[in-house]
Amino acid sequence: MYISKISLVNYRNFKNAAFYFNKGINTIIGENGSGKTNLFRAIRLMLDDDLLKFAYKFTEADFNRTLDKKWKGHWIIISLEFSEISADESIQAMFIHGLGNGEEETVDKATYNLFFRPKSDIRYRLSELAENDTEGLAAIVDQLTIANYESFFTGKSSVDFNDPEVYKELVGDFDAVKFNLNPDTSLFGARIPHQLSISKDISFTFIKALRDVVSDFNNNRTNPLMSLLKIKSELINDADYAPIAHQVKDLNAAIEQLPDVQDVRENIKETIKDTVGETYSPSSLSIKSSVPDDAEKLLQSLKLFIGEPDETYEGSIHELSLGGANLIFLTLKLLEFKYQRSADNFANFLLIEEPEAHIHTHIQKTLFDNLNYEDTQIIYSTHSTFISESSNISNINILSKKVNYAESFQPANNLPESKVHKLQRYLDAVRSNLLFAKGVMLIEGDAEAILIPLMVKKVFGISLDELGISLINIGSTGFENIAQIFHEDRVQRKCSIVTDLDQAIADTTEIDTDTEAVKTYKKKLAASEKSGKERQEALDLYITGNIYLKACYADYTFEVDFMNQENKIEILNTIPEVYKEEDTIELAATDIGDEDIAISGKRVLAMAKYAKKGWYALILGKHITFKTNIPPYILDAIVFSKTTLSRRTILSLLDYRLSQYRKDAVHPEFLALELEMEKYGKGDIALQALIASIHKALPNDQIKDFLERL
Amino acid sequence: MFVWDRDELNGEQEAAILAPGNVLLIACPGSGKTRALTYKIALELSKLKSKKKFIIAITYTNNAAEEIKTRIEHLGEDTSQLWIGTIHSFCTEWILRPYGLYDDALKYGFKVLNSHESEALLDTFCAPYKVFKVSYYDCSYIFTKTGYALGNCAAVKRPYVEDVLKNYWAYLKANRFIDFELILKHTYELIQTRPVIAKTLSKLFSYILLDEFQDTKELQYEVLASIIASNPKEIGSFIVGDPNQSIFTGLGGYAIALEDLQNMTKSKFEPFELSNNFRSSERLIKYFQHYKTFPNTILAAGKNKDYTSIISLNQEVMKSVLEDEIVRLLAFNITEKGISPNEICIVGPQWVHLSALTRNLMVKMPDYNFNGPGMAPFARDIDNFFYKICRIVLTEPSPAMYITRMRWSREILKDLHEIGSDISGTSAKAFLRHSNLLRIDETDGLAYLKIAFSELLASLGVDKSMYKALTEDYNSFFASSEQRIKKLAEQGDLGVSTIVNFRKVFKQRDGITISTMHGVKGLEFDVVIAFGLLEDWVPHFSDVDGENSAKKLLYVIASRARLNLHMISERREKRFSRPPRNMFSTNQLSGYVFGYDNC
Repeated sequence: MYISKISLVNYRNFKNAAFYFNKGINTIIGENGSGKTNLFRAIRLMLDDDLLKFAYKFTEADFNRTLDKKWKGHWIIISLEFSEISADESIQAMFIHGLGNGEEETVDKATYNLFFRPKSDIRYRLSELAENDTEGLAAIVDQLTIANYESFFTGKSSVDFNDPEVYKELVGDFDAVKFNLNPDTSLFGARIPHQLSISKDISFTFIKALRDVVSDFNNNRTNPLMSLLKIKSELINDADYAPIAHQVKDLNAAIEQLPDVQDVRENIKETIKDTVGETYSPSSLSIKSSVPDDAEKLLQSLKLFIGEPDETYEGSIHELSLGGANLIFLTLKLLEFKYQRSADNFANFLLIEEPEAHIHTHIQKTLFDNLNYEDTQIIYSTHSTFISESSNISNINILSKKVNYAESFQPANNLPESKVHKLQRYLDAVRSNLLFAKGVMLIEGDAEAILIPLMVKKVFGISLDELGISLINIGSTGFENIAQIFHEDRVQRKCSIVTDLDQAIADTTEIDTDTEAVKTYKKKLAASEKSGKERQEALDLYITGNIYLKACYADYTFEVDFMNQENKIEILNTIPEVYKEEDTIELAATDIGDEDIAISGKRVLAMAKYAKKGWYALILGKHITFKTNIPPYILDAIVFSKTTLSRRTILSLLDYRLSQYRKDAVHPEFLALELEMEKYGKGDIALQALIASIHKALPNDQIKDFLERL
Repeated sequence: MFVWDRDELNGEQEAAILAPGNVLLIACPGSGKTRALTYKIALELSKLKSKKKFIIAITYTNNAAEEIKTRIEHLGEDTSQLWIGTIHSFCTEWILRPYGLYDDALKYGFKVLNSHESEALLDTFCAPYKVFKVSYYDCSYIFTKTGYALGNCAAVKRPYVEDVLKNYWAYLKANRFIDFELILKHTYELIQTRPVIAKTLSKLFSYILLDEFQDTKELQYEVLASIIASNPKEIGSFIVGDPNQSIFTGLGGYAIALEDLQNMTKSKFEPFELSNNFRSSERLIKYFQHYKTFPNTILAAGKNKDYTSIISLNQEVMKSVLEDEIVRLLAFNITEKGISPNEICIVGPQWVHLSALTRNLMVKMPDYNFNGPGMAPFARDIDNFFYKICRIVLTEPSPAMYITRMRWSREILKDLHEIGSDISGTSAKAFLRHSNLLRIDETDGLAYLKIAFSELLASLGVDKSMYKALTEDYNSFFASSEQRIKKLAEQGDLGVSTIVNFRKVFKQRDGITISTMHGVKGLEFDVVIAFGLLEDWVPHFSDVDGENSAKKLLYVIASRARLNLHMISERREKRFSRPPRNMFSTNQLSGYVFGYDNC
């Protein structure tokens, strides 16, 4: 049995989110603050014995913030769906009795729901309201406090709690003022029988993020070694332990009899007598050694000593490196989990929060490749690319942070098996951080990979990372495999595809005077143009209807389009690094300077080829300045893939460019513009007005082109 | 493992409860059947290996369930894995609540009507047929596998009763109410249409015990058997009863035959008998064996074996002096035979006003206490929330009652929790303490209870007007109580409304018991005085199997007595008969030639 789905409605930073899980290992990927811990907490409220009491102690702060002050009257819904349960096994019978969704003969799913809802008296009053009686509704809900709420567990539900219509039916329609008093239990589930205690039926272990492991080791309650020893001390054989207990007693006696100890005792007695007199002195006084002889307590006095790899010294935990201590902590918790998995439990769950913190990246991958217990579902949250690589793409949930709420995506949702395999292999091969990106730009070559980040940095003074864009070079493997992740059903993030149309740079009409070489060249150009056109058609078709994808085309190829964007200076500057011979250098400079693209284009391509494409990009990179013009199709791609830019970010781009201009003596003052920028910063004027001011101050600057695209 | 001393159980009892397989135990009267059942439950509880298995014990009444549970607790066994209760509670808790969502009539929730509520409802639906003398009494019915059957209904009234029931069921459906029979019907249908239910439950139960199987109905057998048949290898069954005491055939109860039981449950059952009667004298046993309808052995084995029982039959006394004859018999047993009044029981047919009899006897014998039916000033509706509070308010704290009162207190908090009230700030103990500290200066019973309820609810911080269920229970409790008090007062019972009288309801039995013939089931007394043993009453005139029914009733009545038995077929006229005709002594009684004693 395993958890196959979790639905969260109105809980903390989840307005309405669904998570899908499979058997075995599952990964939750998300940036900080995206709600990984909240998701785990929701699971723990339902399954973890330690946290169960909090399922009855929700507070206002547990309601999603998008409800703002209007949480009153709304419900929090946490719903777990379990799959692969078997009605044939006695051990699961109570579980199925309470949660199983029985068809006529068999049961294969079970649901377990927690509603935090207004108590029955309030629900009764809501149900009595006339339709559209918004004043009546306000009169009831305005008075509500958390004390009017109750936690209610049901099982056997059959609806999708993520469906807004379901919420309306169950909770009520706040707009039309329609509330049901007696919901249909065949849809929303029946109350859990009181005989059922799920947390006792299953084994559940939660390993929290490894943040302060050493202090956990020092605290008896959180020390995993203590838990292990405690489990074992309950099993200890009395006969084995008896001689030890005896020795402890002897030891205590021997310590007490030490002459020095006796001296101290006598001295205390004398001092008391001297100070308060015989009458007020205690009648007796002794010093007792209290090494515990009880098995549990004695075992708890044991300490772990560990030597770091390749060292001979064995030290206690606090002497270990942070990474070492974390590794030991994690290992002990895993062992504790193994101890707990007993024959009496039919399901085992292990939740691990951010295991990567302070664990060396190489160990991370090994650790999680090897972490695979039978009959155990493992769910861990991470922002480590190393760990996410060892997980199956079908077993990944991605959390995406939005203002006041978070969304969840499943990158392989609704993809056919064959495509999932391909995608998986691809992701394994490129070690990409694709799944962590807020926005993605797919490119096809080393030149783009080297030059696009550089241009953005030089031109805007900001990195692609800061714009929330991950640049992924897919080489020659085709866009489809990767791009299919970005979809309504899967990862709802923007992905631009940057590719070349390979239009011919010269007239390809063959004429009689053409030499064989020219004919071949023209044929090649024509063929490229044709296949480029075909690729464009296919790609346009592929992205049709998908709002998360955009194709951005270079008319010719990257180098030619770059040069055409009035960037001939940069190209010219590279010539001496490409060619050695004076004649060639001169010829090349003339070619590049030519107005005819058939000549200049042919030259720049020849240079790139001569120097090997990637190397040429490195050479060109050295000559990129803030005045380099970014080709429009790349600007399009950046704008599509980026996350929203704050006013502050826009001002910082502008500031950067002004500071660059100020280095040129010709542009010392931008007083008018600066005033407008200040207004814009305060939110007094719109972006359009700012762009107009920029146009006045810097009529031809490309920042205008960029901002106009926003 | 649960163990007992040699003198706690006899050989027959031990053999039955130690038998490795399924047991069908035929227990004669006074043979220690409840004791065997209690020890069997304790034994099986101690043998449970998994925390996830339950033992299910079905008893005929809630009182029996409570008594057995208390006994097991006193035996020192943990009862957390024991579920014990009536078949109706079983069906509601284990099947309708968890699986009602698969039944379109139940999936929006439902409320179970208790017998008083359904009687009152039936009465209102009978009103249009009053001219045909149709009352709720004619409307007793049972559901069968194929439809329904009427209980005590004369052929002429049938069409009217069918109309009444149709309207009654329609009303219940519209209001999402179900009565006890509908509980069985819905349960049976769910079990039939969804085999997965029986399959799941069969994995949860390690043992199913059924008490008083002779009063079990077709649908009840079907439900229990479906569960056992789903997992016959792992469920043990222990079925106990006495076919000779099957006196609820009118309500569909029957003692299943061994072979049918085996076929239904797909299990092998071993028949066992408890044939030692430790209750009655040899003479009495010899007497009531005549009324056997099922051949079993009954041997006198108790300390009363050799007592010279007086067994008398009076077919001469006139109805007008019946009470004087009863007074004479009481005096004879108490003063001449030295028998305690607490050990005497007077039984009559249920359609005679026993409360009027009780009252007249109280006047004639002012020095004695009488416990009669219908004397309680409020409805014994054990599911009513306020009745539950009553149990605590009207009983005195004492060490003997502590476990029981704590259970009652927990039940109250559980009910409150279920209707959505926050009770996290209190505990069963605290509630009991509050209740014990109540000091209310009020002599009228209902006024007293009103104050007590409001103080206790206030102590819990519960405003009953906020909860529909509480308001309903509250109104129904006081409405039915006022009605009862009015009825009793009309019959001349004036002291009934005092709080002193209210408290008596829960007091230990004290005085001479007056009961219906069906009501003495399971009880025993030194002396039994039975009257109204008249054809048309015993058996009821509409009974199609009158001969056997009469035998069984006489068997039950006679076997209640330890020492003396007095039977009276008084001379009275048939009611509503023009011209007047006399009733005759029960045929089965007249046809039995026995050397009755004169006294």
